[in-house]
Amino acid sequence: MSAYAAHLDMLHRRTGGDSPVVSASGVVLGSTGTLPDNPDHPLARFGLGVGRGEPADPVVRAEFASGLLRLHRSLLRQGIAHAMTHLAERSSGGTPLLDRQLVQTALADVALEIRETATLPVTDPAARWRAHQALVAAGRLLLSLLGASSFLVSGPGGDLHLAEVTGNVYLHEEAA
Amino acid sequence: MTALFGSRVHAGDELLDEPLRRLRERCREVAPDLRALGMALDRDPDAIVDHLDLPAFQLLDQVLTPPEFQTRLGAEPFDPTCTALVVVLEAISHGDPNAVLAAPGPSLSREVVHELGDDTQRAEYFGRIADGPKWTFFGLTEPGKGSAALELETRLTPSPDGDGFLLNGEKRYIGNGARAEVGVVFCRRAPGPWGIEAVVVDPADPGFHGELLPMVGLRGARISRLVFTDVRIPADRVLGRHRPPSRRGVYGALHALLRFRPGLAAMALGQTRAVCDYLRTHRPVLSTWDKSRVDGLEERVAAVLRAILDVAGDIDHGVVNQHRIGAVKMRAAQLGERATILAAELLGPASLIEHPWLEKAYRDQRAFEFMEGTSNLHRLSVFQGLLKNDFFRESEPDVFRD
Repeated sequence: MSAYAAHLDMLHRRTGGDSPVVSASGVVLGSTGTLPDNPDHPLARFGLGVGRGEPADPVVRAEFASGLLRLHRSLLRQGIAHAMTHLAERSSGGTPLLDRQLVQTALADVALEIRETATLPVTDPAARWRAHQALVAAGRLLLSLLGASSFLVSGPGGDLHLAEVTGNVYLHEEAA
Repeated sequence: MTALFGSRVHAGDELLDEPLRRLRERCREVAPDLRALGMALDRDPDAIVDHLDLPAFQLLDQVLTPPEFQTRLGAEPFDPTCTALVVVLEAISHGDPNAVLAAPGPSLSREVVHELGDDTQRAEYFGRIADGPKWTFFGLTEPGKGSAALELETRLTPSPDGDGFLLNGEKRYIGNGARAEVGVVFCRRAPGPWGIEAVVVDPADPGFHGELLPMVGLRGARISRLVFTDVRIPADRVLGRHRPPSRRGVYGALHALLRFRPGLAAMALGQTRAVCDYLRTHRPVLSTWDKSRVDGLEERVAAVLRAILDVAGDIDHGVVNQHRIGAVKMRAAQLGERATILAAELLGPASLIEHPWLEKAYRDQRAFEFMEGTSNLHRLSVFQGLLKNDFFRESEPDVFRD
């Protein structure tokens, strides 16, 4: 199971108790273990299950949405750690990629965005959606440093796609 | 609310002559067939084998195979210039770029075999491809070095029995690598830039191992990992053996990459244009602010399309400016990501679940960021072009100079 899907399940349990939190659109996302009814969905390959149900209470959805932002930030922090290791091992022209200024500044920009979005007053749906969009942009910047390995399902690029899709379902709906 | 007006992305007409405009129309007629195929390839990349009779594949074959080796001539033959390549790939990718990448044929290896190979090598390579649907690969990228041709580590050593060479090493992120019947591998025979060779490899030979990698999207490309363990390479499979070392190996890699790069940009842009059209179909009315955002996107798409045709035209006239070529690929890839993210936003909550094609395009477009060099590499190349005063054209207006 993808790390993201496993943490998504934990967030469901923390906020929704026994039943997964359903978005306002009626779509619910969790691991394929929690939501096994749609095994042919393109996202099942990533370990993400898709289901439908009655939308959860708005207060629960808001708590879940804030949890998704925290999860997205944690994913990006893991992505930075992965990138630091990966880029230290790769070299170009005899120099580790991690020693390149362009790479260092890009990693710094991702880190700055993680910290800044953590302090945003995300008390309403529109603010949460804007924070999500900022994290998507930071994630794409991070992935741009990883070359083709950013496109492996098993790497940060796989889980970051799930975070983007999950935001599209749970955070976008609140802003709509 | 404001209606979303017609697409602005039909730019570049003035850069195409009448035969190329007809070619583009033919491609646009057949491209819609590929939409469903693209979805099928996302589920199962090997499903391509059941769809090779689609007319789009005939057009791809025509533009990717040197004329003297074409066997599936269409109703109207055309000169497979770089501009024609761009026109075909952009229009066909509006249907689906996975279908382009999954198609059999010489693909990126075309340029290197055609440029470096002697008559016998060309006849053998392209003849083999023409003999039924055959997939090929272009093996350059390595796990630790990316596509830095000068730094590759895959080794070509003389065979102990004196009969040819042995190939050892690993390639990663190689399109169609694990499904191909023949391909080209770049490898190091000696130190230094001229110690790199391009050799033809037959995956059926002992010591060749290929496996598909689990990629996020663009699965039609069947991106693979290849491992070579003492794969025997007969001396006559070293491409360009009749040429000096400075005009084979690395030269061949750069020759092929630079000539194909506008085509890759065109593929990214074709799907981006499809995303714009999809958005217009499914969200015909937008607020003034959102309409402005989409208009801005489509203006950029038109500008990048023009720039792609521009560099392709240059290549056809023998001008190969790597800085401008890399720049158009970078901008096309960036636009694709911007378009898919914007479409997912404007199509509303859960759009990436309710619009499966959009979710696929959203994933596919991320591949163009790293294929044929990441945006960061091309940024650095643009900077090098500025240093050499070789990025802006002489003909570009400069009021301070003029």
